[in-house]
Amino acid sequence: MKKYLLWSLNLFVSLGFMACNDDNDPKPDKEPKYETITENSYHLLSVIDKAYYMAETQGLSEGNLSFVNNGYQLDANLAARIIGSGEYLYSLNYGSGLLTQMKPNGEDYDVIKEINAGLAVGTDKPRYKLADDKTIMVYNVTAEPIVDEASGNIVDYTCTLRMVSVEIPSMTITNLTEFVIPQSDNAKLGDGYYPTRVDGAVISGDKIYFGLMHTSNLDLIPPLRKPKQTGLETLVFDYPSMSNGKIAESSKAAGHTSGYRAPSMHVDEKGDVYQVNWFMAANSFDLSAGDKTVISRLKGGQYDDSYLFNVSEKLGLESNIASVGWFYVGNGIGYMPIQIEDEGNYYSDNSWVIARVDVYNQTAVKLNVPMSSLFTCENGIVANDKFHLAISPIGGEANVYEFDPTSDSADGFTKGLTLDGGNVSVVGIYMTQIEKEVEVTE
Amino acid sequence: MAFKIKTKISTTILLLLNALSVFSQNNASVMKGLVFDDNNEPLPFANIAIEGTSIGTFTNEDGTYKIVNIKPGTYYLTASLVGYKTVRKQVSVKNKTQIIDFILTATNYRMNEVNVVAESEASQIKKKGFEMESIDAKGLQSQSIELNQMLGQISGVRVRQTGGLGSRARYSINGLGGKSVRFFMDGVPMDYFGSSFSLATIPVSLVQRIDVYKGVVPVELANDALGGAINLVTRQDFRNMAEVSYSYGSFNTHRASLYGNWKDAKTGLTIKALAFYNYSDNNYKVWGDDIYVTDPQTYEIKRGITAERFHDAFDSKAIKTEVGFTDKKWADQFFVGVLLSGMDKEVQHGATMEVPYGEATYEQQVAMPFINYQNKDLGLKNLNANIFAAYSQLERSRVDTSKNIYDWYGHFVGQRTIGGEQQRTLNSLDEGVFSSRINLIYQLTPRQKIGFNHLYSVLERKESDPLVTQKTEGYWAPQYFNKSSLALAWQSQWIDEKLNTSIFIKQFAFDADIKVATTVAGETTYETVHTSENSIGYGMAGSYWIGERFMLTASFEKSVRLPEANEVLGDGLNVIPTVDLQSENSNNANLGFSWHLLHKDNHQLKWTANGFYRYVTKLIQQVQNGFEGFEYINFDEVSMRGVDTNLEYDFQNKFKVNQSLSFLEPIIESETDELGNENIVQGSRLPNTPFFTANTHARYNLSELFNNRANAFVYWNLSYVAAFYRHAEIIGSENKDKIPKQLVNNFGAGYTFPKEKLTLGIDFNNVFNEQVFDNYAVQKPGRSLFVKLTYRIM
Repeated sequence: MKKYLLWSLNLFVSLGFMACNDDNDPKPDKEPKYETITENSYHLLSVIDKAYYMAETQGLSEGNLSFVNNGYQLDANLAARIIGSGEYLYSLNYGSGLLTQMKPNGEDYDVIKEINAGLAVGTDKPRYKLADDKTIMVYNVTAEPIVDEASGNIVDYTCTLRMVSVEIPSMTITNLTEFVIPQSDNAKLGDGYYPTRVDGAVISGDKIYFGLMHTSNLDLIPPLRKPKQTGLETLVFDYPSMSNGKIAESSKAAGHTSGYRAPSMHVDEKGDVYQVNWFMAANSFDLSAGDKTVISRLKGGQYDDSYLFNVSEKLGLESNIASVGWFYVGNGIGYMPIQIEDEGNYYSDNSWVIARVDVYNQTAVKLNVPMSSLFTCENGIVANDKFHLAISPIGGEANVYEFDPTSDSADGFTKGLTLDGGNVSVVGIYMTQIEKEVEVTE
Repeated sequence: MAFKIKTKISTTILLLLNALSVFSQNNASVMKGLVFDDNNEPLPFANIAIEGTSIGTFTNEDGTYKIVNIKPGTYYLTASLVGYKTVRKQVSVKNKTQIIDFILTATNYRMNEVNVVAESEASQIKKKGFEMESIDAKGLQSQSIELNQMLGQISGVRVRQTGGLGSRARYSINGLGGKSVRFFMDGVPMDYFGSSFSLATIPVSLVQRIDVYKGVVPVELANDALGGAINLVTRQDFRNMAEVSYSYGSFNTHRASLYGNWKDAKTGLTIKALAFYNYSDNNYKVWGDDIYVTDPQTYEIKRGITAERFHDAFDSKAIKTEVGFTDKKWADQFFVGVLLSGMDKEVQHGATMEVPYGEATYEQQVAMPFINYQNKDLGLKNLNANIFAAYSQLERSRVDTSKNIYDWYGHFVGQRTIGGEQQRTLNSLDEGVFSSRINLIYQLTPRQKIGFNHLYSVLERKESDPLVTQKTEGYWAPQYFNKSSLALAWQSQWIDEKLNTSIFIKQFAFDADIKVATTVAGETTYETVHTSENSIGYGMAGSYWIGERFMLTASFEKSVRLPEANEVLGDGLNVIPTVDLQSENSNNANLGFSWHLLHKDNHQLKWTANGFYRYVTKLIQQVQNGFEGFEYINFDEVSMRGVDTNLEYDFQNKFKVNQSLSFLEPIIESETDELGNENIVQGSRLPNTPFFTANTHARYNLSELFNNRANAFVYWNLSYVAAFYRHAEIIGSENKDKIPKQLVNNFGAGYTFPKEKLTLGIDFNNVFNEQVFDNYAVQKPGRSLFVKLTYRIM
């Protein structure tokens, strides 16, 4: 949560800086005083025809940002995944496994350092996440079948997680850990299910949490992969020792806990972990079995059985809803892209909208933003006390939207920066911050 | 000179037809035979005349001729052709069939005389109005040149290879590429010959010439080609001969080929055989930013090293034998044959060079029995039939299970947590295809011809992979795919043969049985869905002579490209089947000319140019379908307009220089993307498509410098491709993926020893060791040297 506090602090400092600039009347006879301020800059990630581009903007509230003849192409064999932290952006080339540290220079980006993070975990397609403000976790799960020699049938899988911590900004790799993911009885309830992915890592206190994805060996032909329909599971280790790996379980809801590109888990100011489930894929809802979109709470490495926020129910919509991840702002408030089943399929229709959720008071409001397709939405940020997310409705006008966390109204947002729209899809907004010494005038 | 031949041919046709009509009532004897040059190549369009009569004919494309209904008696028969010494033979005609063959000797420089002949054949096709360019392999057979290199010299044709010998190549004609370009060998589609018997592997020694049709494709090759067609014309010798060649050079590259022909003159029993073997380590050096190594302690990477490719070896081999009869009453040609071929390939990297592989391999075997039947008078006089049928059994397997990670020094640097460098697989594919081609041409009147062509194929495919654990019903889905192309054409000549026209209509159809999986509420069900489609294409082509040196050509076609088996059936792994896929459609138009600017004894200057326009709709594209799956859909529209031009100068058949230029403007026309979004890149250039290319080829024959009957030549080839972007041209401004401009110089020389049995060729490629890329960040070989010996056994 430090991150958000820092941002709020930055806001005040930034405002202060602006106030200073307004004052064009320095007094030369006085000894100059300096103070450190933090300047924010914002970076938008767009994708068009499988190529990824990054462009910088100073503000998100107004004006427009186009990628036509503008922007820095990112190395992306299959995709580029971005993290913004401190002065730097980190870009993971999904397909080569290289993690590149980049610094904005006002026009484009300077490459500062490159490491082969994928090689460290034995794949060129690793997944990664900013687990806290100085640690990027990089990881990879493999599943080896266990074959019954007599029958030749696969009876089980050995699922191994391999992970490293990348310290930032030094980009040093530490803590290589290999861990065989235990398969709970719950996991085996489904037909041939086993863990195939972990993601969404967060660190809280002396624990690190990984969301899990289970798929069935009977269902590997895309896009038929469907989530495990029973229970929630989270992999928890002691941190930083990466020891004592365990599965935390809950039977209060079902589905993946890994998130997709949007993160599934967040740590609030009190150190509690809030997690959304994902039980949707390939139009494969099974709500009759009691599936629902919920936010659960984890404390001290365990699901908190006293807490369950049933987002589906609290929204009170006629249609089923689903989610693959959400964004946390602070004070219990978050924003969650939700898919509305009646509005079409999850990957190519305008069937998604944003809900404001309050995890403390367990309230949820569907906001009146335009319907769009947010399955591949990667990131939104908090800046200037507002939450910012790009919304690009298919066939409609694309904008950055600014959400006011203090408003619980369905209209508690404004339209910000105008984007290209069309097939230039902005999937993430990131922030970098530069600390500057400026002269203080009185 | 080619021009002279044409006019001569026209008169010959008339003479022949008159002669035939006069004598057709008589019931007398037959004279037939073959006309060769002294290099054993058949000579088409040679004039055969009976002295003292008006009886005459000319040889066909395969050098054969036939004169019927000659009254018994003694005659002098002459064979003549421009550029060759006329041969005169005394013949006693009795009431039976007599075979009289001729060998014509070139009047001056043989090597180039052959070029003239090839050109005349090409001109014949061009005269029908088709935008066609031909490249003669004859003069190149002594070189260590690949067919792909030859093709690259033709304006408007791009061959983009992903590496050295045997690497995958993508072809495009006037900007349209991929599956919209179709390949033929002697008119038979090569779709099921396998990649071990393809343009990447067949040695130049076995080929007579390559014809490239741009856009509009004639009925003889009536396949579903949108972009155009490439027809390999193999050597057609009908005399006893055998030739071996062997080439060795850089990167431990060996290429051997054997070619032979035997015919028993009495019985007509003929045996044809060809075989080849290619091998290369392909261990050429690569360098630049994409070549990096990782520090094993810090995982920091060091870019910009130079490394030798270490896992890129390739071999391919093939044997094709045919046994049959030629020049029989019941068949001009009847052959039963079998083609066996195979290849092994190491895989060095994926789509870019960034991640090197050290163990993944790929192999393929094809066994294909076939029959080939040709008869110029099938039942009906003037009905020319050409029938080919084959059953191809293809096995392809990929082995990619290694957990070892290699760096660009070939060092083992770590272990993958799961096997598979590119994609973990032990996939093997077993494909059986019956394919046939029936081509009938009926000469209605001297100036009217009707042609019919039918291509048909039935494909059955099985895949297996012991590593695939989900052996569900869906995985084992029966996969059938049938394809058929029917074409009908009417060719005619008008206005004293100044105007040549061809009008054609084609019908394309496919049908498939697809097993489709549907998942509702977590339950997956399978059903077999039958899908089929029928499309009609049509077009016309024409040429018109203005004066004696200027020919105008124009053609138009509405053409269709059927989906491929993989696109409809899926690949059982990542690509899901689709029942909605339809054909790609395109409208093609060409307008060009061929102009003999200079036509004096010593100087020949010819200028050809063609402007074209293509508009393609319902382009078949692979898109993401939900969570990690892909499917093929029709959605894009593109247009291509451009100009190809070629200037050819020839001095005394000694010095020849050829300059080709090709400009292309490929434009994205789709208003929306596949989801319905406004298409921001509409109106901009299509990405990853070269738009300006140039090629200069100069050749000098040094024969005079040497003593009797020795031949020698030197050549220089310069090719240029302008830089182009890999992704959308108008999106982004910094660090964009770009394929840089290429400028490659090749030199070579050849020497045929006085007795003509032995030829030595030397080829020096990429002389200045330029860093060459056809595709983004995949480097091609640098400087290399090859030596080739060709020996004619008989």
